[in-house]
Amino acid sequence: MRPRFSAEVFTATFCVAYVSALAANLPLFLYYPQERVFSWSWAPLSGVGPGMAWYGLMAVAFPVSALVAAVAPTDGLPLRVREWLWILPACAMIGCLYLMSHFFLP
Amino acid sequence: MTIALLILHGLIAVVLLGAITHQAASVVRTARARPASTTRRTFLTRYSQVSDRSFTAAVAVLFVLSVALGGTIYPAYRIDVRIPFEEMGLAWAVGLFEVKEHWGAVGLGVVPLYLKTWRSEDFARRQTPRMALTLLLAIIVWTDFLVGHLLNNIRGLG
Repeated sequence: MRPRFSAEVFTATFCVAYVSALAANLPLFLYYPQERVFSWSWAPLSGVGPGMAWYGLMAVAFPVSALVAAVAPTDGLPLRVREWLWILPACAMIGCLYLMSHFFLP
Repeated sequence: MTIALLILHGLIAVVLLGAITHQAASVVRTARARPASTTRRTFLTRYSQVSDRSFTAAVAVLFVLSVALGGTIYPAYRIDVRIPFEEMGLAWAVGLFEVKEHWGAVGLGVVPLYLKTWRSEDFARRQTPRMALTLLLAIIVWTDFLVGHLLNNIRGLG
């Protein structure tokens, strides 16, 4: 039996989950590369150098979207909706730009 | 080791850039197709006259490889590059890298649907989603490539 997987649902869920986790600052974990330490706490650790959230954000978005894509019916979305799903990644890109805009503003 | 991975990351990005640009040019040309007799044989025409479907698997594999390699060398950037950027007051450079990493992640999420739009019969007669996703990936690849190149020129690893 072929495992079920809906690419449409995966992409849609991934975009929503990733940008939501980024906006809410809720990575699954933080990684501190200087000491090579993983932390499950969202509060920054002291004395271990700067932390990285990107791995933790991916660790939120990937399992959630893979799970939803495996559970959701592959033909559940009408073609008219599937045609316009590309709007979601476009919005996710704009959302990321907006969330990072503080780096570019004085 | 990090330098070797960075160079490999850059080389994969160059190949990916070529593949996605060819495909994007081809899919836009197909959408604006005119009768062959009225088409002039310019460089741009020949550049876009490729079998766009044949680039799909290569783009998907190269994109995943490129993001995976970028993720592998990311800790070195965080320590050796971002901290000096912050000390130099280059917040915009840090911001550009943030956009690069987040757009790369969004692109990774797009890959399954991108593959499906090029391979599934459902999408065969629907040009818009195929073209839109290919152009989105092309924008991500071009932005990430240029940002990576710019930041490496300001302060590279090593």
